[in-house]
Amino acid sequence: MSATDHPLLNAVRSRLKGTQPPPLPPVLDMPTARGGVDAFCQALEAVEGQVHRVKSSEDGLLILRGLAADRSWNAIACSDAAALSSWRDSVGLACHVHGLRDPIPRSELLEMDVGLCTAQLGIAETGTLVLCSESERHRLVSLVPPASVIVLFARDLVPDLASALRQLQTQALPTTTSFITGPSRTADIELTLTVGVHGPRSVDVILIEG
Amino acid sequence: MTPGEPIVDLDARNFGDRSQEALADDSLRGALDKVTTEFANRRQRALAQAPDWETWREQARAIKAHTLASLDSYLLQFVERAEERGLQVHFAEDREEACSIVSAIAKQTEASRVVKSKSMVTEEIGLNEHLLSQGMEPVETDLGEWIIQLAGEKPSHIIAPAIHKTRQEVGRLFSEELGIPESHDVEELTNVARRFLRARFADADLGVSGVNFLVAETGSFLVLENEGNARLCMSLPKVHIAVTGIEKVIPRLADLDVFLRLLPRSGTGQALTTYQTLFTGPKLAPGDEGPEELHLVLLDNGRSKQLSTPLEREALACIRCGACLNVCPVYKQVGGHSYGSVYPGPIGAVITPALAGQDCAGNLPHVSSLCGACRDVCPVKIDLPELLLDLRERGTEAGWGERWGFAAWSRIAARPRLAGFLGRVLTRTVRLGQSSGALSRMVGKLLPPLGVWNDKRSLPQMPKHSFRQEWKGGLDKQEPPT
Amino acid sequence: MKVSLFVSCLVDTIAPQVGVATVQVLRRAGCTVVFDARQTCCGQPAFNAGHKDEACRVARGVLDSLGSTNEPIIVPSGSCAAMLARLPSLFEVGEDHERALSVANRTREFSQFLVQDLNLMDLGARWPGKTTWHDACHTLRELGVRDEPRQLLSHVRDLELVEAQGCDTCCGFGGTFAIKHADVSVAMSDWKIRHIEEAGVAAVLSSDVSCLLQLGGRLDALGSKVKALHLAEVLNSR
Repeated sequence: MSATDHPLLNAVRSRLKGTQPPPLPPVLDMPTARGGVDAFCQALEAVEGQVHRVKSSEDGLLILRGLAADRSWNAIACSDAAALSSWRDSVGLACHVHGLRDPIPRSELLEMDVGLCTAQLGIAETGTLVLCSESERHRLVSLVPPASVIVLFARDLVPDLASALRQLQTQALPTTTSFITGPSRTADIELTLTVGVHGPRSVDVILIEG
Repeated sequence: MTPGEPIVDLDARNFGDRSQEALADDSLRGALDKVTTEFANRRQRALAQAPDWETWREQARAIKAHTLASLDSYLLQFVERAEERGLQVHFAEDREEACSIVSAIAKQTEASRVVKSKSMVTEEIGLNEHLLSQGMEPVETDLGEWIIQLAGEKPSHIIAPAIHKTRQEVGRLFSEELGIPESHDVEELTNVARRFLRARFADADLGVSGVNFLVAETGSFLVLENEGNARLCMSLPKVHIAVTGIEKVIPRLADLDVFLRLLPRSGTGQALTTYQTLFTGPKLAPGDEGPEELHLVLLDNGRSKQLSTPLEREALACIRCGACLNVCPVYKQVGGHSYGSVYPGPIGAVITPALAGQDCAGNLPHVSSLCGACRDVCPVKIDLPELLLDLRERGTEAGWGERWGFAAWSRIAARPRLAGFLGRVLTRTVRLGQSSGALSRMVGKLLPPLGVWNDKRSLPQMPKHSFRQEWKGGLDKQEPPT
Repeated sequence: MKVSLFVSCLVDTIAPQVGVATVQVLRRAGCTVVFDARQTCCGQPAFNAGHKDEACRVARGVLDSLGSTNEPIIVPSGSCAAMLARLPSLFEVGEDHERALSVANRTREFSQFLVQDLNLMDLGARWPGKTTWHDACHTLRELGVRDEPRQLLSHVRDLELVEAQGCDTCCGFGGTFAIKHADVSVAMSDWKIRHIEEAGVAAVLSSDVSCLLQLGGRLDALGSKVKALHLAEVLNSR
């Protein structure tokens, strides 16, 4: 049965018979938020994310190595992003790539300390990272390990969500578009905020401005 | 389960008993007061940073008004676009059908270990009970939902389902149910949830989620959350089934912007929740990440009944933020369980009669003082008090005593001289009753509403003369005072 | 200026002193007050309980007594003023609709009239004591009246006005709700009364007798010394 003839739609249609829908308003032209790196950093830090600003990919790698040492990471799960290929051998700890032909087995992924990937876009107003499923295999790497390190290029920063959506719509939408704003959190017990629940407990963004 | 049967465990009719229980529970009332005040304050603080709030509200209201009035064409568009991208869309006219669809998919994919993220709709259809009856054990993974699942309770709030539980109660619950030492530290308790549920995520073969928005233009659906459990439910198992009401559709991808500005601020005072995940079809290649199968169930279950008039359609605009609960002075006193519905508070009072029928929930629209605080905070400008009035008028709640009372009263009040006379008789009678306790009780028996009033509230001394007597008695001619 | 008084059924039968005070304040403000004794009730109790026909039967009396005059209709009750504003949607056709529109357009809540129409805030009143204002729901949310009573009270000599937490939270009356769900209704009052007591006031003031009956009735039953008074009574004090 095609959707058009389904009883559910018929029920909806019959209830709406004779209705004159009011017009659909045009998309709101919001004043563009103060974009830029400073805004991004402020927004993400406000939700317990951390941003490390660097001028080059090489400097970004240094940051990563520093974090790994500070936090005693042993094993890192890395996405298959091309931009990270030069990092994978120089990280200084066991680096497992979640590639298409050799994905990290689930049981191993669950034991890793940290996941590393890149973001396709960043949203300055809210400190949000946008991950597109077909660009990179980072869906699980950005979710399962308790620590998350995400590399963002400053040139991929857009001012607000509206801009991000417009940009996404210039092509076919990814099958899964993940918007990530800081580490996971909950206030379900007595409204007391706890950072780090099921998703990562920490989010470190290495923001490359070169 | 038969169509038209109440929402699982619905006993809205028992509001009286349940609210009595709630009022006697000091711990619950302390928690409710604290939580509703805190949520309302957080919302206020978020709004202080949002000078365009009213513009956003009006935009959202207008989008919903248009979309709901043309819901058939938007649903069609959604289904067409979604199916073009490979999403498997199922229609369910009622809760029974929705449950059957989910368990059929589970059987067909040989999935039996189910993890669930927070979804009011799945509570509405009684999915957990149904899956249990089919030999599956669904595990709730949202912290608040997991807590109440362990406790065998229903959610008491749309956003924070376990908000009625203190940390001590949660600690005790975990200790009893999980066999661990009792802790009252919130961070520790949260870590317990993380530890215990990680294994469930890992070995689940079916993930069930709700949906926050359906986008007609692209055939996408959006799920938002803070904890990350939804992402895990939707990413690790081989099958993902999302269940949603048909009213969740919005026309354009760009419209997500205004709704995502309104919803988190209204619900929890956040500018944005930690995660939003937009799904546009299942993965493209077998080796790609994510589930093998992606399904969406579109549920009616009485929603289409609310499409007939513009006023009723407003109720379908609800984006489930919970703001109305947080400001409702009735909810603050009695909490969510008193309403006996999956949807409590002002919005619950308005939609439950449509979803569950007048017989089960016709009393809920009367559980309100019509103060209007809910209307002020609703991000999509639902005129809740007007809807409550409309439901009261169309309902058949009034017993013969009330109907007789108003019929008589209205005929008296339509006759000024008779009304004046009987008004004086009434106040004289009450005045007489006020001269002694025994007489007061007699008068209270004669006029039951008076008896109810006098139980906990005094009445002022009844005047000797009514205003109109004062007026005729000289007030009309009195000189203007200096 | 000539004004017509719609006094409300509660004021007429139970709290005539509020009506008397309203008249005297209006006269002091330079108004000539007319009272058409054919008025009884605005119909709100029936309307809110879902009995529209009964409400209309009663509200027709408002059309008869006030529908064909020209002067402002002053109402010492925000909920009744809000109901009068609603009359055009209850009487939708013909002459009734015309009269309903006329009533709705001329209806002014008491404090709204003094401050907005007469531009008057100082009525020469004196009421020594610490007070707090309770924002009645209809007055606040349907009429948008929040500042006017406070402005009037700020000019009352020796009166101290403080804000209590939850001043704009419902008192729990809600018409038949007060009887149908009496325990919840009283719990709502108790919540407010805790904050009123915290404010350490001698009186809680409001624009609506229904709220004052509820709060005053519960305060008295609890043995509290806090009084519940109508704005007009305070503005009429010397």
